Amino acid sequence: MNATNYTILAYTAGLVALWGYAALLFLEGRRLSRRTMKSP
Amino acid sequence: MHFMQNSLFVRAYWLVTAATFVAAGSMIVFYAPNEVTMGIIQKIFYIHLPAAILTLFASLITFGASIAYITFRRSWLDDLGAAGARITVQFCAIVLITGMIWGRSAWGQWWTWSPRLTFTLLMFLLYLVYLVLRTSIESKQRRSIACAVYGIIAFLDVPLVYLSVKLMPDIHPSHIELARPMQITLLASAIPMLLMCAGLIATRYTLNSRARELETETVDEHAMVGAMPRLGGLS
Repeated sequence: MNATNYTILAYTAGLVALWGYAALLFLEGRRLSRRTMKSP
Repeated sequence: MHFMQNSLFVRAYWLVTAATFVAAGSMIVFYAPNEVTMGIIQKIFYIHLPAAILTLFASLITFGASIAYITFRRSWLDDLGAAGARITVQFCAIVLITGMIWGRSAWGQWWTWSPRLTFTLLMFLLYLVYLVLRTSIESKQRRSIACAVYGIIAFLDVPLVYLSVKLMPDIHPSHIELARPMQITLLASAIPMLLMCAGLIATRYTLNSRARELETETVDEHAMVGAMPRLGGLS
């Protein structure tokens, strides 16, 4: 693998980790909202 | 209550964060020059260094919240400390992964046991243990106190990460000279990373607080249900 591919790999890993976690938090927020609405 | 999806401010915040990521990415690709000796691989620096600084920032939040929790015993401080620890692990993982990829290309090896790398790995593991500790203690009060004490102890590794490269011989560079366009690009790439870090900590904190409220409500409901037959029997 050449330097360009290593650089792309590093940025892909970093961005997936950041935005992937943000997406997980979004889903967790939705799940908690549903639980809140269900509770009397 | 809807958390991040319904608030106009929160939507705008994440939109701005995404826009700054696009702008910084464009600058990294089109504006920042390739370094003379390392070439294009040096561009990993624009994600690696901001992530490293923000790891220290997130761990500092956990440290501050832990001290404040032990002093004031407010549950929101425990939630904030937990949020800081979670984001510390997230950013530290990014530092380690991007650093390993850079090392593979620049030094020819994925990992070397140099002081800074070792202390960074230790930091990642220490905060990972913090998260495990939170799930392993049942009592809320005990969990909060244990995590606050641990949050203070774990922070002792943070100065070592910073000082190790200055005090001990290390393959990791301690100081880098940057050309003006590189400095500007570094600043431009630090902004989305900072927005992302602050946004993730705030969101994680909100979710922690809401989960705690729901947990308390559920316990109260169970207590009421348990008490009802006894009340019925009395009347």
